[in-house]
Amino acid sequence: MLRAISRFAPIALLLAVCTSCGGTDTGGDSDTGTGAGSDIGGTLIEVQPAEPSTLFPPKVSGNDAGVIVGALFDRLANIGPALQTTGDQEFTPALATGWSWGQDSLSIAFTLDPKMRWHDGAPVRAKDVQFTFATYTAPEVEAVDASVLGNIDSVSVRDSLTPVFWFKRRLPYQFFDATYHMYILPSHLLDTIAPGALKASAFARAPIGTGRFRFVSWTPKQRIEIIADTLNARGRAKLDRVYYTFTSDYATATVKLFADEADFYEGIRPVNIPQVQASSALRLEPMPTLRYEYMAYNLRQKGDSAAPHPLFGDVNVRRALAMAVDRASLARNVHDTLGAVALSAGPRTLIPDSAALKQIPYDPTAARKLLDSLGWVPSAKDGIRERNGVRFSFELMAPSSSQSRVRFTELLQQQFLAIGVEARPVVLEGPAMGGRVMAGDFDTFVNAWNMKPGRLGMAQTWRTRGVQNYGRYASPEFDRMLDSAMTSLRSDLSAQRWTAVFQRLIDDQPGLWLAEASAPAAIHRRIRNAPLSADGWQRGLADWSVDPAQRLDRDKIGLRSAR
Amino acid sequence: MLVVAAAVTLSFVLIHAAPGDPLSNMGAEPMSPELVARLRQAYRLDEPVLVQYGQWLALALQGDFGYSPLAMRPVSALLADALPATLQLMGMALLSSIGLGVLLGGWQGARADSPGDRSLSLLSLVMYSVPEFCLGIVLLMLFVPALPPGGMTSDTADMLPLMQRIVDRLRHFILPWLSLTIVGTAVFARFQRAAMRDTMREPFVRTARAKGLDERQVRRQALRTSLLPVITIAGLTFPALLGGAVVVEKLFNWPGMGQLLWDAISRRDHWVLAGAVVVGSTMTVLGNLLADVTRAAVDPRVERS
Repeated sequence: MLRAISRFAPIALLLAVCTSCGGTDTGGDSDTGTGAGSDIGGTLIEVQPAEPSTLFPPKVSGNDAGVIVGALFDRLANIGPALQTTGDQEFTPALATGWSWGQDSLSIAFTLDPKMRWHDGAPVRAKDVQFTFATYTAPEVEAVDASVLGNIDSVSVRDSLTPVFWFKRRLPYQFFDATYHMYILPSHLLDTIAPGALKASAFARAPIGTGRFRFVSWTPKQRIEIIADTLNARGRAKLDRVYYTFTSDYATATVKLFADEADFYEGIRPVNIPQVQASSALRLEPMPTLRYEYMAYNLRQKGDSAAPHPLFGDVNVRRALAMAVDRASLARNVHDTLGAVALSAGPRTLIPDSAALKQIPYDPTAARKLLDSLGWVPSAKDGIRERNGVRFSFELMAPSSSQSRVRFTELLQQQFLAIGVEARPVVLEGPAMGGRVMAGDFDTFVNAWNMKPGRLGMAQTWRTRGVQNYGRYASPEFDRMLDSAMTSLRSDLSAQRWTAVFQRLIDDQPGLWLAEASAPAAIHRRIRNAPLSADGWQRGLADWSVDPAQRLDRDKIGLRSAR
Repeated sequence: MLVVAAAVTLSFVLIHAAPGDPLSNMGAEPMSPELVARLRQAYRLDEPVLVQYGQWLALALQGDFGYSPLAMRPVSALLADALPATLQLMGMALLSSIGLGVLLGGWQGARADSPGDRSLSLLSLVMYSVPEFCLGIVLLMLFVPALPPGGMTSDTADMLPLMQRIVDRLRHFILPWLSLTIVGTAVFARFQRAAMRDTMREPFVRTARAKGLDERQVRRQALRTSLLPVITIAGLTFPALLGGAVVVEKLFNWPGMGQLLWDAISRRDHWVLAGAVVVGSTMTVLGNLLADVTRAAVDPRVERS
């Protein structure tokens, strides 16, 4: 045994010596071939909280994988900074240099850029676009966005550079449908693979796209590396390489950021914001959001979707609860200066005329009177309201992974108690809460939605039998208003109708609209970035650069491959 | 085999008893009820637990641990990625814990009840009581940024010359290794101290001294004899070390079995969990077997019995 120990002693010694080694992480020399003052070159390291499951675009969900796929692949056209989804005026060319509408507005012919190449050198052709649509809509692929492509009837190939989209009906967001939901895929690499096998194919873990960055490597549970595509027809990306490094533990992620081992983190929590502000290496970058938080009611009885919920089936009860909650103080308490009261079921940026919305005022006295008038009277025992022997007491769930939502449950509990209503916070793991919510086995829960441009999520979350209408809100009048807003071709009329939709959700209160919070990203000061977009910070990543005067060792690696 | 089978069966049943399943993830993109139903059918989540277990077992016996719908990869590929990292971390932590623990405990046992022994006993008791994650956080606070906070290598390590790459790897290894080793050393030192103290009172030690052997030789002989209980403990410590590795790997972002297990539990990834438990319990059984073999090698009486 002693002999064995003595054998390991040198290793221990070596480990001890290593603690005194320098903190620099690279020592490579630059081969960017650019002058000292050039803004070409540099390395960006982004800390991501989770490793993507796949880089196969149709199967990508969530922001983490989305930002990587967005850097590697292209759409036919890009949405403008205002995220305007109606018409095509604000879209800019990407793989397509232009497009023309059919006379009946039921088709769009895109003209592909003949210079565009896949990262393996093959040209981008119309059949790639046709293949992409077929793949996204193939049932075996189970594409995340397949359900929103329902208005596209087919894609045909007019010639090798002209794919034509055919639509079932005229809608204001036809162009958005054709361009936003699909990244174009290389048919020459994928058309021999069965659609159901694509998500597990080698391509899904080593994709070949057309973006201004190309894929280099994926080290499981550690990082994904991409580098500038120097042969890209639109010009190479300014940065040499980007690492997406996976760190699921928040404390470790922030330590990595503050230890100069990472350059960008979009999940910074309010508690660490002063630390970022005080840092000489980091700064905060405003990041708009399409996210809102609310308390969802179950409007149907647990286990019986036909019967109304004994408490929340009555709209007047829901309105009384809305009156009991000081949402401004809640938003401030949870999000500090980064938070604002949510006006309705959507962030302000997606509400056309937010000033026109009439809110339910904070008025606990009126809330008490309304509940009294509905027969919910405080019990003599503990002051909690009762009606016909039914106690006004309910579960308020939140996922343990979200500090803000857990905090909301505590604050709501206090405010409801002030009007004689008992909310019992229940904090559960995500899958446990998800299982109960999907089964309709809940009273209320605090939820957050990240909406996509175009308010398409409204139908999924609030329309009768919507895919994510977990509270089972069912209003034929609301459905009619929503359809009318979504199909309105005139912009002024569309704005009016959308405002009416949001007002309806305030009046009906299928959820108690709590807050929307902007979440600034922490970014290294040497990085010069394009403005961050609400639908993914990677937009414009190819134009990010590193200040030549502030380069670190890792910025000097250049484009060379691993040793 | 029986231990592995029992561990897997238990974990399979327990994870199914926990609320939620791999598809009840609300954070994901919307899925139509039809798609959810199809996926449940495809992954056999709609069948009774015992049926699911039987189907999984039939495949596992052929070396197929199934497919993770969340990671979109075969479970065996996930295990193959994670196992080397854990073996590296745990193997080194176990070896250094045993080595340092035996040295420390042996020194203490030979000088039982001296002021030095008492101080070290107190220190090892404190270290023994500290959970690995607390120790990990303290180490992070003390040594970062002098040492990297997590991962197996720097992101840019592949660009470094060979020697710098080795150094980089070792620097990333230190903090997770220390977190496991400090606690492990305390455990072994406590057992080794007790065994050494008892051995030093054995008649053969008195005889050796009476024969005129110098004290160093006597202690060396006593240390060899006192190793037996420690070797047994080494085998029994394996599951605890594996449990500690789960927390340490999570904290230090070490891409091993511990992190895989943690993610599988929190995401209700039944198939990954079952595969990881097979590997973990096999490692435990092998660890105990190794302890038995080593015990027999050190003590001929064990072999004879």
